[in-house]
Amino acid sequence: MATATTTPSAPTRPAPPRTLRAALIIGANDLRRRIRDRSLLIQGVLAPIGLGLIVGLAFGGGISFTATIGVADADGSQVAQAISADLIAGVAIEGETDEESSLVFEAAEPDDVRGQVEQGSLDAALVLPAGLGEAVAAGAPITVGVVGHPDHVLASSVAEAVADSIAGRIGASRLAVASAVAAGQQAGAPIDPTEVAAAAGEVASPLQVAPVDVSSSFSVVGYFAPAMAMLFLFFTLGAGARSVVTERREGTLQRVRAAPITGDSVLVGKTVGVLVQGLLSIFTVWAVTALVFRVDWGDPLGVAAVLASVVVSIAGIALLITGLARTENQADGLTTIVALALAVVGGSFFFGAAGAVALLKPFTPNGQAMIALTELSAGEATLLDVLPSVALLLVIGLVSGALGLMALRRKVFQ
Amino acid sequence: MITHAAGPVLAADGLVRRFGEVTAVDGVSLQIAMGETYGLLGPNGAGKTTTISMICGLLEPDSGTVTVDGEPLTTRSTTVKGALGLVPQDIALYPDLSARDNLRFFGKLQGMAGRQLDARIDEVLAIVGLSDRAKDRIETYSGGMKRRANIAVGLLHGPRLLVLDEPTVGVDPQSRNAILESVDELGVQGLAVLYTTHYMEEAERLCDRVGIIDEGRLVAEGTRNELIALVGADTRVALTATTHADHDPAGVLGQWAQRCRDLPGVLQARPADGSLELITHDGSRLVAAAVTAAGDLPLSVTSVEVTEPDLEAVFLHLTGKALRD
Amino acid sequence: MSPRLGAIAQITRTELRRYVQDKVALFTLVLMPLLLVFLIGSAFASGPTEFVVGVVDRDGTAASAQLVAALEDADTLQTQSYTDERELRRDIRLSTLSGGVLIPEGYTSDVADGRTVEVAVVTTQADQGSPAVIAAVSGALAQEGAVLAAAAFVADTTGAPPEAAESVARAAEAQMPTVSVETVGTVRPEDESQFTRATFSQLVLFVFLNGMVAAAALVQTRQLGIGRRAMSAPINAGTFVTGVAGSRVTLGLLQSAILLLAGVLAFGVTWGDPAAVTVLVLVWAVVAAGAGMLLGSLARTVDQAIAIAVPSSIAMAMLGGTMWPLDVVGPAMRAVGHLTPHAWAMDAWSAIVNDGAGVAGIATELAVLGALAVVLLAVASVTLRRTLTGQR
Repeated sequence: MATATTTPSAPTRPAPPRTLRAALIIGANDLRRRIRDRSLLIQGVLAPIGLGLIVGLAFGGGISFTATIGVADADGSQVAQAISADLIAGVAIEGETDEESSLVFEAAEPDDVRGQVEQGSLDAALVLPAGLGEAVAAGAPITVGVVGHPDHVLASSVAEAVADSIAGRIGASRLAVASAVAAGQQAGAPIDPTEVAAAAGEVASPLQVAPVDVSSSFSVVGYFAPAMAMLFLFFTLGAGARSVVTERREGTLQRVRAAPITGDSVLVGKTVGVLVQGLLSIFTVWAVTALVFRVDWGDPLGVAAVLASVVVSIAGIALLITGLARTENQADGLTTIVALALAVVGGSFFFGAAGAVALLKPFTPNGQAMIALTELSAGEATLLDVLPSVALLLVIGLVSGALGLMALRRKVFQ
Repeated sequence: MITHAAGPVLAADGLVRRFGEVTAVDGVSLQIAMGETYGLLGPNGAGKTTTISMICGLLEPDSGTVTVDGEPLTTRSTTVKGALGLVPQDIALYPDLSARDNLRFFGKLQGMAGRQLDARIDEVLAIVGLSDRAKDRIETYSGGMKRRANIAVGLLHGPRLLVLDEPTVGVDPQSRNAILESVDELGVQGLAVLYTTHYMEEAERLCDRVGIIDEGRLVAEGTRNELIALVGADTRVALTATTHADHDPAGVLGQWAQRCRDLPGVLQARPADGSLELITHDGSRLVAAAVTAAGDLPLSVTSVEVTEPDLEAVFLHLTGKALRD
Repeated sequence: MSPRLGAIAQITRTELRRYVQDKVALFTLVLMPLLLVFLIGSAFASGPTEFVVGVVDRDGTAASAQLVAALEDADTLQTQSYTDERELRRDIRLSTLSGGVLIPEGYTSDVADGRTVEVAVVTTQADQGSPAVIAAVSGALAQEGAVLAAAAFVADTTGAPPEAAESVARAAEAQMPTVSVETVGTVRPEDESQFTRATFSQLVLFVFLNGMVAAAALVQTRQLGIGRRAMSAPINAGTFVTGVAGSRVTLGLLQSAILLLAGVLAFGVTWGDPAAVTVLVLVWAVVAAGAGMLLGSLARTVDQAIAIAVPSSIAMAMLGGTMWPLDVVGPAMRAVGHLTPHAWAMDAWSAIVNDGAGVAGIATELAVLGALAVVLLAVASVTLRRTLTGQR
C-alpha cells in the first residue's frame, strides 16, 4: 500500500452539517440509490403506466367485440319467422352495443342450438319457442329463451338484451291489438284483431333510451394508471421505509450515526427520501398520462393536492408497518398484504364498485384519492371541493407516520 | 491547524453498560494520548465492541463518561464526533455504490464538500491502495479490498483518533498484512489509534499500549513489556539432547542442569525426559552458553526451542482462559 | 439415486420450515386470497337484486310521474328522486346509485304529439354492472312505452280521445300476461357461476403471484451465501434447485387446496372432474415455482425482485383473463393474452368447471403449461448453478 501522509495534510475539519442539511444529504443518497437500481423507475412509473395501458387496450373504445348469436325458431309461425328474419338480416336492435361491434345472427336448429353453444360454434343463442304464434294471438304468456355460456359473458348478456327487446316488441304489438279491441268493444264498434294485427305489428314505443356515460373523462387508462400507481406506491415507499432496518443490519446505519449529526436527521432524512420518491413517481405518472395519453385530470391544483396527500398517506402507513414489524421479511410481507388488500378494497383493480367494495372504498387512502381524482377529472370539482379528501389523507399519513417514526426510533436507536 | 489542549485525545472513565441481566461492560476506563496506538485485546464477547460503541457515541452508557480532546461526547453530540473516525467490524458500506460514491456520501455527512472533498477522497484512496478500483461497486470487491475501503471512510475527515474494531477478521493473509502495515504507518505519522482485536500478534506488533479486557473489565493495561513483567512470564528454553550410549541419561542431564544453574540469568534448570528445560529472562543469549556448558558431557544437542513470553500467556495467567477459543 | 433424493427432501424441508416460521407469509398464503375471493364475489355475484336509480323529472307533469311510477314498479328497480343533475352524476360515479334516468322537459307534449322522446339513462359505462342497469331501465321504459304506443294506436284506430285511449290501454295492460325472457341451457345459476369464476381466477392469480414474490427469498438466500454453503456440501446445483422447487410447489399446492376447499364450503362451488383439477393445480404450482425461481436467480437485490415480481404478475393476470374474462376484449388482445400462462390456465379451468372436461379435455392446455414449467425450471437451474458457483 502507498504510504502517503494523513494527519499533516488533513484539512481543517469543517463545521458539521446541521440537522436539516444532514437529512437532505441522507435523503438524496437514498434517492440516488433507488434511481440507480432502477426499481423506482420500474415500480414507480413503468409498472402503473404499463398496467393502465393494458387495461386501456383491453377496454379501449368501449366494450366492442364480435359474437355470433344463433336464432332458433322452434315455432315457425308468421310472427316467429318475421322476428327471425329481422334479426338475421341485421336489422338494428336496441341494445347497448356500439357501432364497432359486429354481431352476427345465424339461423340455428332448435335441437342443435344448446350443443352448439356448449361447443363454442355459437357464442349464444335465442330460442323462439314452439307455440309462440298461437300464444301471441291468444294472449297467453310467452317466454323467449336465451342460451348462454359462462365463458361468453358478454354474448350472453347481449342475447338477453336482444331477447328483452323482442319481448318488448311482441308485448307492445299484442297490447296495441288488445287495447284496440277493448276500445272497440266499449264504443260498441267491435274490431277484428286479425285486421289490426298487421298495423299493430308496426307499433313502436315513443320512448327511446339514450345511454349516457357519466364517467370522468378519465377513461379506462386514465383511471387505472393512477390506481395502479397507488398500489405500487406502497411497495416503493415500503422499501424506502424498510431501508432503515436494512441499514441497521448492514452496518451503514451505525456509520451514519457516528458522523457528527443528530440522530433525528437520520429518520428525517429517510422520511424525506421516501416522500420524494413517492412524489416523483406519481407526478411522473400524471405527466406521462396527461401528455402522452392525453388524459384530462382536471384542475391541476386539486390534482396536485390529492396526489401529494395520498403520497403522505401511504408513506405514513409504510412507516407504521416498518415500525411495527419485527424483521425485514415481516415488514416486506406485511407491506405486500396491506398493499394488495387496500388495492382491492379501494377499487384499484375494478372500475365499478359494488357490495362490500363500494362500502369500504372511501375508507382506504387509495380509494379516497381515486374518488377525489374522478370528480376532478369529470370537471365537476376543483381544489376547494377536494380539500376534505386531501385533509383526510393528510391526517391518515401524519398520524400513522408519527406512530411509525416513534416505533422506528425506539427500535433503531436503542 | 486546529490546536488542541494538551492532554489525552480520548478519555473514557468508568463506562458501564448492561443488556438486561448481562453486564457487557463493567467500569472500563482508558486514556489514549496523541499519536498513541492503543490495543484493546480480549476474546470474543469480552465487551470490546460495546466499549467502542460507547466511545463513538453510538450507545448510551449506563454510567461513565467519554471525553475527546477535553470535550464530552454522548449519543447526542454532534461536532465532537467529527474528531473520531470509525472503522466498524462490519463492512459498513453501501454495496451497490462505488467506493468513491460511498466516500462522497460519508464525507458530506462530515461537512466536507466540493473540490476539497474530492481531493481528500483521492488522498485516502491512495493511502489504502484503492485508487484504480474507486469507481467499481463495493459488492465487486474482495474481502480484503472491502476492509480497506472501510478504513478509507474512517480516515476521510482527518480524525484525531481512528477507531478500528477487529479490522482483519476473515481477511486473507496478504490483505491482512497490508492492513496492518498501513495502520502501523498511520501510527508512525502521529494519528492516535484505538485498535481492538483478539489476535495477540497484531496487538504485539502495532500497539504502544495494550489493555486486556475480559468479561467487561479491563484486567490489565500497559506496554507489552510491562504486561509481561506484570505476570512475570519468563522465557523457556528447551534443549533436546540424546545421551551417548552406555551412559545414564538421567545422570548426564542432571549434571548438565547443575552446570546451567550457575549460568548468569538462569532462574531454573530442570532435566526432563530427553531434554533440559531452562527458565530465564532472556533466552536468546543463553542458548549458546547452555550448549557450551554441556562441554565435554556425553550428549549431543539435537534441537533447541525457545518460547518467549507473550500476551497470550499474560492473558492466560490473568484470566485462566485462552484468548482464542 | 437414493441419497440424492434424501438431499432434495432435506432441502425442501428446510425451506418449508423457514417459510412456515414467518407468520406473515402464512397469512399471505392462506387468508389473503380468501379475502379477495370474498370481496370480489360479493362485488359481482350479488349483482344487486335491485338497482337504485336516481330520477330527475324535468317535465314534472302527471304523465312524467306516470313514467316514474312505471320505473318504480319494475322488479329490479328502485327509484330515488333527484333535483340536482350534478349530484346525480356524482352519486353515480361514487356508486351510491347504480344509474340515473333523466326525463326531459316537454315529455308530455312530445308524447301527445306522437314524437319520440329520448330518455337518458345515465351510468358509468365501464362499470361492470352498467349493461344490466341499462337493460332494466330499458325494460321498464319499454313497458310504459308499449302502453303509450297502444294508446296512440287506439286513438288512431277508433278515434277515441287521448285520455280515454290511455285508460283503455292501461286497463288492457293490467290484464296482459307477460312476455318474459328465460335463460335456458348451459349457463349455471348466476351466483354460483360468479363465485366459481372468482375462486379459480384468484387461485391462478395468487399462486403465481406468491411464487414470484417468493423469488425475493431466493435472492436473499443467494446473498446470504446460504446457497453457496449448501453447494459446498456434496450436492450439485440441480439437487439444490429441485429441493427449493419442491418447497415452492408444496406451498403452491397448499394454497390451492385451501382455496378449492373454501370454494366448496363457503361458496357452494362444485369443481368438476377431480383428476383434471388435481393435475391442473399441480402443473400450475410448478409453473409458479419455476417462474419465481427464474426471477430469484436473476434479480440482483430483494427490492428489485419484488419490484419486478408484483407488476409482472399483475400484468400477466390482467392479460391472461383472471381479472376480466377475455371475451370482452378484442381478438388482438385475446391473442396477446395467450402469450401468458394465465390465459391457458383460465381456459383449462373454464373447461373443467363449465364444460365438465376431464384430463383429456384439457390436454392441450396441460401440454403448454407443462412445457413452460419444464423450461422455466431448467433455465432457473442453469442460472442458479452459475451464480452459486461464482461464474456470474
